[in-house]
Amino acid sequence: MEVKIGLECHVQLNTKTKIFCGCPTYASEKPNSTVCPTCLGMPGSKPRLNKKVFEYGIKAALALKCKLPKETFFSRKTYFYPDMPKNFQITQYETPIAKDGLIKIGKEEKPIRIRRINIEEDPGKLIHVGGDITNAQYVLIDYNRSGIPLLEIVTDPDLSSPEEARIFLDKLRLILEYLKIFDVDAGLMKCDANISIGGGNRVEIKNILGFRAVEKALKFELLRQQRVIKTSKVISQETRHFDEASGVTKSLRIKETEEEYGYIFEPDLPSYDLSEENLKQIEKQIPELPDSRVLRLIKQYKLNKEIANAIVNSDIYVADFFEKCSELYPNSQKIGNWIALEIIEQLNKRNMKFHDLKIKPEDFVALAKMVDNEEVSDLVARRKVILEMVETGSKPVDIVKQKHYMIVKDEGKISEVIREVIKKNKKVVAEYKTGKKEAIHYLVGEVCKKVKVNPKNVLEILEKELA
Amino acid sequence: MDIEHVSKIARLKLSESEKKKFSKELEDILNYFKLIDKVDTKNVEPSFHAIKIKDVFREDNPEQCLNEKEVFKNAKEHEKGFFKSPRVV
Amino acid sequence: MIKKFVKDIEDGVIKLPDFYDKVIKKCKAIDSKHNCFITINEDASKEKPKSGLLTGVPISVKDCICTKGIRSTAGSKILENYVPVFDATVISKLKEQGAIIIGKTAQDEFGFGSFSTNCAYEIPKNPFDTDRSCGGSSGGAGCITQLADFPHVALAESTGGSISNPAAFCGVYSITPTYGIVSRYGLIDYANSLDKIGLMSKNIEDLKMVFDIIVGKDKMDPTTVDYAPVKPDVKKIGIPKQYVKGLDKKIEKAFWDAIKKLEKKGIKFEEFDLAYTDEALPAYYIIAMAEASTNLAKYSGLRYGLQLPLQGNFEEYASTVREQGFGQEAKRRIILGTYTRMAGYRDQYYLKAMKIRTKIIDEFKKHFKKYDAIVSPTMPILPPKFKEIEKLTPLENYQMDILTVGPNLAGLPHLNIPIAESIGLHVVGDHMSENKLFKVGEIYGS
Repeated sequence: MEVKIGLECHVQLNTKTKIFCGCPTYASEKPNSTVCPTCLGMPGSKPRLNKKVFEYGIKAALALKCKLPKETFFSRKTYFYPDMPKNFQITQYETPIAKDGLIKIGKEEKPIRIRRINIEEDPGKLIHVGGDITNAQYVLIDYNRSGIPLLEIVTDPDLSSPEEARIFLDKLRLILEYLKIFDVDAGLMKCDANISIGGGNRVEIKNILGFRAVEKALKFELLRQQRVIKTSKVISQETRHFDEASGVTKSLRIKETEEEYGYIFEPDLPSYDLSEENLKQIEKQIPELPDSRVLRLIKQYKLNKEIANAIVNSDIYVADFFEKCSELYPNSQKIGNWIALEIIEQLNKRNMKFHDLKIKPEDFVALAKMVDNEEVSDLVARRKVILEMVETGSKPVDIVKQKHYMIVKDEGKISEVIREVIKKNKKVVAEYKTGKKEAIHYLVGEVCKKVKVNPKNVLEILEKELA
Repeated sequence: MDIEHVSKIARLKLSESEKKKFSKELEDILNYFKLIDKVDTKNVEPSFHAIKIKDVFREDNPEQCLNEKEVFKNAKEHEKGFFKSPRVV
Repeated sequence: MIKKFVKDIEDGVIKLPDFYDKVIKKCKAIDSKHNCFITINEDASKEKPKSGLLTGVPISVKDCICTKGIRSTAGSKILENYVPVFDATVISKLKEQGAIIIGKTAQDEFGFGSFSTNCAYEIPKNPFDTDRSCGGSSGGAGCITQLADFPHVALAESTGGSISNPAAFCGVYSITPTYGIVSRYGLIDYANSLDKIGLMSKNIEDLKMVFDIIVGKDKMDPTTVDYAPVKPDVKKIGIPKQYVKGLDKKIEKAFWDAIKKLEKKGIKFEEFDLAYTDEALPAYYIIAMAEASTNLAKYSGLRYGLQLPLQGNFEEYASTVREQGFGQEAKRRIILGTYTRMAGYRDQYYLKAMKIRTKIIDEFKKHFKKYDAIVSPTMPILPPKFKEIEKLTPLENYQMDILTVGPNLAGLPHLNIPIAESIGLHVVGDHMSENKLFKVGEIYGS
């Protein structure tokens, strides 16, 4: 059955101050401590648009290949909720800062259309005391988050599976990270997800917190809807809430007063020009974005497409690390393979980020050089050293030393081990001497078990010894 | 106008007598508002302000916040540094 | 009056604590008869003002303008005990020059009214006749300005004519500046694209002086612009035919007498047709109510203002608080304002009104190419008795604004000149032409 998923993401922009006032955006331990008359909605207070927020919105719009209007302004969306200090939200209704863009995802570069992008303010945070949203005794409110600048990104229902939704969000987050407008570690991201199957009614899941949770929520909801259809019931159009702890979506069953937002132009703010001039200035500040970087890595470093994709689409640090390594070491393909196939695999297994690794390019490149110099075998480097590097954070050189992974070249040492093996395997030696030449390989194997050594060297020396 | 519906949206509880009184008054006013239909506004841009105001921004620099006393000066109820409200639903 | 007063203060001829003991006593006496004030600043005599152009000068402030530490109710029960933690920009500017606040003046709740009878506190009574209205919504300001026998300027606010109207009824001068040249930071909003802070005084000189202090672009209010004054040349003034028909006989006489007086001083007058005078009223009210209904959404019993014991859910609680805290006119305007911006009605009301505003601005601009100013009587009637006002329908109340809404909608500056008891001459100019208006006032008074 055809699955259609659309996402409405709210991403916190990485500015020092809030969108409409000079209160700082850092998360404060103390509730209601980063607030002022404006973000508390005190009578007589007025909004003042943060220039950076506006610029970041334009950057995102350009990076997502959107169309921008010549002029934009803000709107009031009026509805009553205790976390809304004015009981209206300043957002963009008639003139979102951008429309009709797209993001390409996956190997097939499937285009996911961006319907619109707009900038708006976040409300405060609620704590439901003695229950949940439906049966709390009362509610506590912290307005520290009130006025945090948000970018709202809305897609068309072009996503066909929960996995695709996750891939999309990963790509979106990566682009925002490249633009430096979103703090991937500390910045909050909330999503509303719409899903329908087989042309049926659309269910909206509201306020899913975090990228990972979106896939979980959609997976559950998809199953739920499939079950409902199997029992030949009909999916009702409704709004549901995702409970992360239990992994299920719940019907809100709120007798919702049909919200009438009654949009008007925000009369406390002017209109804003988006002239060619402005846009060109800001466009200059946009760095190389992931898709372009992939193409460049393929061209510049002769990487194959899969490797380039893996490196770039992992996160920005991986790609930066790769390029730094390539400055220090000529064989980019080897480094590329190691990063894409080995490091990333190990990181994923441990749910770690590259950022957590703290490995320096010089130290990583040193391992590659050791393999080139036949000091360590390629296999050991990839399968053992890199694994332990990810696990312990130790430098590869140190790991090789501590775990005796060095290929022994000292002929004396090798001869010693060979003599030991010969002593212990008199039968096989005899077989060799009577003409069974292949028996020597068993002996080589035994030697290699005891010491890290190049089998070729062993064969040479063994042949000499047994001659 | 469905006064019941609009007053609900506006979170205004009206008494029965108020609803009755307002119904008539508001009907008169809305009829009077129809005067605007006379004006030809084809191809006219709306004026959201009386004078054209554009492009006013604030630099992204932190400013002084309110202290605790100021924050709660006019609040009857607050608990452990939080404001209080009845439950949402 | 102010200039001399400030000099006397600085020379030590007048001692502030004594002066203010007397002033506050007078204010209380006036207030007990006329209800000009919602709050009187009992601590005025203890204030140690800065030294400036207004050292020690008494200022009254309409209650919708936030004064730090002094209760500000905007004339509503829903803000009965609200004490702002910040000063409006205009207040900061005046304090910077040494002014002292004597009290917060009475007004129609949030500015909703033309007679101050929608004040949730004591209704202010006309200085000349306590059975009659002061006008509105800045009724208290008009009243104290007339009755103060000490140097004083009133800070007031206009959305559709609320400074000119009471100035006319109370027989004082007033200036309502061009929209955007006086900061609205700290003004408790009625309709943000229409609200303006202005002044009332018994003489033009004081009015001009304080005007110069309060104007200017303010970084705290992004809808402000720099004041760009023009030369005070006044040669030809237009009289819109639509504004001088159907007037009360007394007003008609006073108006044409005033015109004759100005003609004798060399100003030329010409009658002309002003379009859209009928449509300006509904267009104004639609915009004002739509914006007001969103501005008033914040009053829902949380963090400030009227708060009740927390019960039930937020929807019920907020509805109860708002039901108790808002007066009838506020409720009417919230409902109408909500309706005119609802999906399905928005285009025919809200957007249409915004387009009519464009046409009205263009219409005025066209005429200002020919005229330095335009004049009319300020009000179509004399101050009515309270008994008479009670009989008026809401719509009849709105229609009192007929002569002032056009200029207010277009954000044009306007001056009230008292020309007879409770009758004012309204002088309206192009944006930024306050100097021309003051000139007309000076010529008239010379």
